[in-house]
Amino acid sequence: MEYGICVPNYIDMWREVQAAEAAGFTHAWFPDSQLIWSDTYAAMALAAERTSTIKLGTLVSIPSNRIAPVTASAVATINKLAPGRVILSLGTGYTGRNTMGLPSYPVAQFREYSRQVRDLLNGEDVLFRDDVTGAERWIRLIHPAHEDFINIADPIPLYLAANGPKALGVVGELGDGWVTTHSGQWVTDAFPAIEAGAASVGRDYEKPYTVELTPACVLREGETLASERVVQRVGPWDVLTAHTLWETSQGHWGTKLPLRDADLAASYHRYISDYAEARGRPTDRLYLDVHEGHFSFLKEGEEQFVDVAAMASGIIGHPTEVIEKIEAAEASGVDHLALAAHSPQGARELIEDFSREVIARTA
Amino acid sequence: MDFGIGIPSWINAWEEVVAAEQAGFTHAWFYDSQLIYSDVWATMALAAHHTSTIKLGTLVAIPSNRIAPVTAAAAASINKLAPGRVILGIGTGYTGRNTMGLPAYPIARYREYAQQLRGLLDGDDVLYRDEVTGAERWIRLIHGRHGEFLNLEDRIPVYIAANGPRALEVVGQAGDGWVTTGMGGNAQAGFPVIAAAAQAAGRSAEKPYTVGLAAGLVLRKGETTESERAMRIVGPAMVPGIHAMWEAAHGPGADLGMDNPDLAGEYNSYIREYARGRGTPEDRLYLDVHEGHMVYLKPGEERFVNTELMSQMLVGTGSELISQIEHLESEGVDNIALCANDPAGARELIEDFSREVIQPTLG
Repeated sequence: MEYGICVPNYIDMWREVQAAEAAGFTHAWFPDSQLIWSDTYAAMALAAERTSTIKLGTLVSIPSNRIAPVTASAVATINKLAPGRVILSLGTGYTGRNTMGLPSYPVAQFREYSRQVRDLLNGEDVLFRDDVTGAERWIRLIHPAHEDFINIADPIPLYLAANGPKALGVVGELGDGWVTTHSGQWVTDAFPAIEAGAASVGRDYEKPYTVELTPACVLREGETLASERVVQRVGPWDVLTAHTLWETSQGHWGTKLPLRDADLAASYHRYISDYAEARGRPTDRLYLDVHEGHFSFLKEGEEQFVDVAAMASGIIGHPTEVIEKIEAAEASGVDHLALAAHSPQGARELIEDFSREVIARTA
Repeated sequence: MDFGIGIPSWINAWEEVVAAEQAGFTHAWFYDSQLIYSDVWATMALAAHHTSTIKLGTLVAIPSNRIAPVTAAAAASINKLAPGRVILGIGTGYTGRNTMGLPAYPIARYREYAQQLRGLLDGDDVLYRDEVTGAERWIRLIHGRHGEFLNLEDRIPVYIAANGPRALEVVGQAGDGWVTTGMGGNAQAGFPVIAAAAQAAGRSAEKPYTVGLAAGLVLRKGETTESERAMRIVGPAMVPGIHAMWEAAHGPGADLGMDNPDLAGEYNSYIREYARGRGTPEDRLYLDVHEGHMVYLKPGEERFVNTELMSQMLVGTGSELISQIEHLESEGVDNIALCANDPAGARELIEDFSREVIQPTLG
């Protein structure tokens, strides 16, 4: 099992990335969500310059944020600073688009964008469609061998985030790796859809390197899931369930996921309506208030939506429990756990605790 | 006069920016052109991290490369590293779009993009249109005041690049400053258009802070514009004029109004032969045209460098340059952005201009 740290991009995240490198983590992951965090590639540049072995990946970059050649060039720029240490993961935009009140990126376009970025990074000519004019033009990264700009000589693997069946097919068609927020049996059961995707384009199937993004916390002696520190550390992840439910039920244009808990959705809607009203915010843009603090901090009054029992499904527990969970994850087909921490301080604690209690013991 | 260095974003440009800061330059300007340079925001992140007083601006960021909230968040991320030192220059995409065989960004959308950036950077709600779905949504930088991610407290000016009359109006309508190319008379011709548009929009008609992007070189004793050094450092900033003529006459869409059919035809013969030698298909000659753009001359391209025209740029002895710059200042130019071509060329420009021009005029 390999371990990565995933923190909402703050521009000085390199400090924690350095700490993670020193503590035996193999990867650091940088999300991309423009309304709430710092610029992905700016944060990665600083981390690339100040580390030497840890791999640096986006998790995940959103196609509609930047045209394909900008994304390809940006990741190849980081690869210039950190040769062979860069991974580009793409996703359809849970936070990147939902925070703007928009649905996720359509799968057909996701496939097209992924292919374009991959081909550009392979130094190939790509037929690009300009949204402004509708014109189609052949493009390529023009200066691949020039010493000052980009590095595409060291391969940059393309990982794709997928949770639904159609997106899983794209992983099989194009991906060098797979990123998921699911775990356990769900992961095991998803591999056939990936394999089918590979078969659909005549690609040899090999189980993709599988990254599970998961909340994580090593409990200290005497702590339980309900302990204040644990709720503080994991709560911002846990309330994402409530955000998603709200998107499904009220954010008319948001993620269309099955509505699992209508009561919780209604209760969150009451909460966020009051929250917005108290701040004088118009009701036509409640999604902006819903995603305030998204995977970063709990808004005032949001603690009530932290579901302590649900937290148990993450990599959370006392050291022996955590190690058992990791073994189960490995058995399900997961190669890599991207451990989510939502703040610099939380990241430091997680890095130290996890390194001492898990990495050191299982190495 | 303020002095800046114009950089075709190479990722380690921070080393030259540190030198420029020490040499008395007030600004460093970074080009955004995805097919030919490093990522502009990654490059600026490192420059921000390694400097303490010099101002850092894009010159210029291209609207169609990144959606407005991504550009706003990126500038505000850099502003976190370099508080109050960040300028967001935008343009309609001479290289950013022409390198892809595309025309400049349309003016109406340019204005809208500029206004969206201003609104987002002011912490306001902005009505945003999603290209993917066509939906319009209110957005804001949700964590604009959150300590870790962005800095909106120190105001980030938005400068507008403009040469044609309709773009000049956008400077008056939406700009905090103006970026122009070309020398002699450009500024004075532009101010009335800008002032009229500003007044019509109910804004101050005061002359905007004006940045002139200029090719430059301090000639050494006995040296002329025919020298190897002039060809190496200034040549790459001269041939883009020819590239624009080729675009107008033979390119697939771009027309900057640089009309010279004879010269364009001569360049067309040159580039066809160049492309044939490299096996580039005829439907994408623009990729070969813009190879080396502002950085180096392609083999055989030297003959298109007009050394007579070069002497109308900021190319001359120290005392000649000082009087030229005084004249520009009297015309209303506030900032000279000297085009650097590569790290070595940048070092020469910085040292020579500092010694022969900046230091003497400071005294």
